[in-house]
Amino acid sequence: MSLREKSAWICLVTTGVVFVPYFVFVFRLFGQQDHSLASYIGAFVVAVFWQIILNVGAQIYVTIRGGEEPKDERDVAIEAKAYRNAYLVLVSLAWTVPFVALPVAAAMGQPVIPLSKGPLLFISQLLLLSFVLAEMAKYLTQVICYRRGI
Amino acid sequence: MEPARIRNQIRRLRFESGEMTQQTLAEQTGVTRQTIVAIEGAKYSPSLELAFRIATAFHKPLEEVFQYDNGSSPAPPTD
Repeated sequence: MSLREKSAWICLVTTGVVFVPYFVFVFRLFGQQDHSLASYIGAFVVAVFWQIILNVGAQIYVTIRGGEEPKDERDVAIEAKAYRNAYLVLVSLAWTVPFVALPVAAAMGQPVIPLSKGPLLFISQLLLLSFVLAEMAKYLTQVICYRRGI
Repeated sequence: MEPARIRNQIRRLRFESGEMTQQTLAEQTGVTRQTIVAIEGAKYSPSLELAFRIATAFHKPLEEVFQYDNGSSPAPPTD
């Protein structure tokens, strides 16, 4: 397995390990009608901290064990395909955010016009979820291309 | 329409070149060993430049290393 394939696996796994519990936590807060900004920011800081620690630690470990490896044309081609898929996922999901967030907020009895703190927080978390899913689509594409060919 | 495929003779040519390793070929052509593995296993079609570098490493013309197979039967001879 090449260094860049290992790197893609690490990014995919660490993003999943960190952000799945994060989104479970924040969407539970919404369910409990807890809209305190400190809870959301705190959870986000903790998630980013663990993402950095796990990712950087694992990347350093595999680089030390496997050694440096220059990027070649196949890596570039796979990266380009991965970015294209990530962009498609991001655009598709980001467009759907208002259409999901506003009806959900209205159903929960939150004022939608003008937007109150609850729906704004909900929209921000859905946008963050879009970014995270786009990142995961990128890493997943890389892993698939390295395994099955491009 | 069947998918186009680029077949290659890299494995045979490595054998004929005194069991040249994939790592040696990778170093001679400036790519990683994994890329040579992917090309050899027809999981990646190299760029024209890399294809020429691989052919040069074996001292063979390009068409002896790579063959284009678009799935259709070959055209009949004209003469």
